[in-house]
Amino acid sequence: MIEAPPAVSEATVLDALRSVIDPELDESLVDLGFVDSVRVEDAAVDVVLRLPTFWCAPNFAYLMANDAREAVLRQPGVRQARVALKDHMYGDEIGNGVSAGQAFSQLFDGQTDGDDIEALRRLFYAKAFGMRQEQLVRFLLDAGLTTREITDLGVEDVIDISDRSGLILRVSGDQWLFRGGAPLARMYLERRERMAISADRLITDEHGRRIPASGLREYLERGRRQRISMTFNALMCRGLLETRYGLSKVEER
Amino acid sequence: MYRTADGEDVFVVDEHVHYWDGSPANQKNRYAEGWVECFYNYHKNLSPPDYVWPLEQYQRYSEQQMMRDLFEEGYVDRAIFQPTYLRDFFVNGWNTTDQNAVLKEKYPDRFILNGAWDPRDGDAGLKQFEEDAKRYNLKGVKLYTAEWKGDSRGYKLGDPQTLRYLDKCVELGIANIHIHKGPTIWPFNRDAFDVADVDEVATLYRDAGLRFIVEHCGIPRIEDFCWIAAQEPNVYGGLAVVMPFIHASPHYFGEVLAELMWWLGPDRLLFSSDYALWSPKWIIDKFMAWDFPEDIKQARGLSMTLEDKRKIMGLNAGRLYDLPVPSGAGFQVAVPA
Repeated sequence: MIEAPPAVSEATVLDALRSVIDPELDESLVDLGFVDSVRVEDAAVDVVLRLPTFWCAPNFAYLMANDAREAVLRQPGVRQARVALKDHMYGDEIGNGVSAGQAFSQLFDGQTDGDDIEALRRLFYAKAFGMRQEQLVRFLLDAGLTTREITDLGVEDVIDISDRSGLILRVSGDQWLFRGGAPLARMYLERRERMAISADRLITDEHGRRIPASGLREYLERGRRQRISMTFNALMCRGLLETRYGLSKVEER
Repeated sequence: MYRTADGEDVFVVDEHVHYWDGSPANQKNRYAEGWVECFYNYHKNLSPPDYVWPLEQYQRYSEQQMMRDLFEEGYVDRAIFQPTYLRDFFVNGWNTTDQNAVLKEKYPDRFILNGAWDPRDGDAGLKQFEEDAKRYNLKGVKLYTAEWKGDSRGYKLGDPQTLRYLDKCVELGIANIHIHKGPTIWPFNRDAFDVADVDEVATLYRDAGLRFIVEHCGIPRIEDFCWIAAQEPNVYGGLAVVMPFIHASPHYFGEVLAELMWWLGPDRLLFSSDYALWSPKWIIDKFMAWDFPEDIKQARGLSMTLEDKRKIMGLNAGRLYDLPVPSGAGFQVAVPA
């Protein structure tokens, strides 16, 4: 007897899209309101994306559209996934190219300068890492930890990061609860994993290298500037998307 | 001129204004339509509700409207025209030096006319630029590295062709190079807002006296811009697009200004409304009443004094363009005998 393939629903597709992020904003496409519509017919899925402006950078648009297609294709029961990008200068090129599984360099043949587009993605993963790290470290400094206590933290000193119990860290041998810190720690650890950092220390630079306690504050300044840029992008993109499509405020995460 | 509650005069130079034509008749293609739509959404998104215009008015506003918004209601003493040609999108261009010159001729004491060039125009462009420079007595140019031209999707400041044009600026004594780092898409696989080429030319032309005013402070890559500006004393930040955040996200505006004051200081920041994207009156009212939020003051040890505001509002631009500052509005104040 042949087992019926699992039914694909719009809800499962949306769930899959939730894992796709805008590398420039470090937020989910769904939370940003970039998913215009999802249509499922049998095993074929059509996703329409929309972006804040007609001019949004085609490389980022490609990365998101491509990631969206791959996330949907990973769902059991999905046989075909098409992604369209509406109201964009290269909407047709990107939509058709992604849906046909074309690489970015093929899509804009001769107009890229040879680098793999993945380099761009890694650059922005590193920026997101810096931003999330700055938020976590700033939080721990405000909570009263010293720079040395923070740079001495090991990954195994992270005891819990669930919302239920809150952020629990072992600091100099004792366990402490940091109220309100769990989401910051989770976001940081996710970005750290994405950077494939395998160091024992919790707070390192983007290559996993130690940061001396005496240099922590200066080091954080870079993270702060990355956060300010990303905040600008997020504010601008949310606002423009709302204005463009007459949306009420897209819910803040 | 802006006058504070204490009766202090503040000289106002709006260093980035436009007199554009985005009307449907001037739109060549869907890119033009996309351009106007995008600009209009910027305007709608960040303006207070009372200052939002209907689309038609925004596409093409009258001379009277502009004169009123800038000089009658908007406190502006002098405004600098920054042309953006976009001839691939608009029949007569978006706002060209020649179009702006009409207003400059009519109101010579109000406007400063900047020119523009594009290195992809080669020898002919260089010749044209030289003619424009003489005809209009140019003191500055506006570069738009993201402009489309035929199959090209933009250019870099460090390109050999660009250097020829920068050499020409040195030769003609045109020292103010305004750069709009817009969402350049070329090369397609790179960070679209990369400001690294500003670094290159700022170093190269420092001794020759060129000044690079980066419009929008390199936003949305403010971390790169601050890094470059900290090292290059001839790099300035134009506050177009940064200013309206004072209304939409005041605390965030404070964070941005904190970075800029920290890295560039009050001597290298220039006020602008980017008119008609936004109207100067409400921005100036808010900025003159503004101070850093308490948490930022504490954490960064920064302050924003009236003297800082004077520099940002007009004295810095006045210095770059040799503008006479009305007595009482500058740093030198006559002491009554």
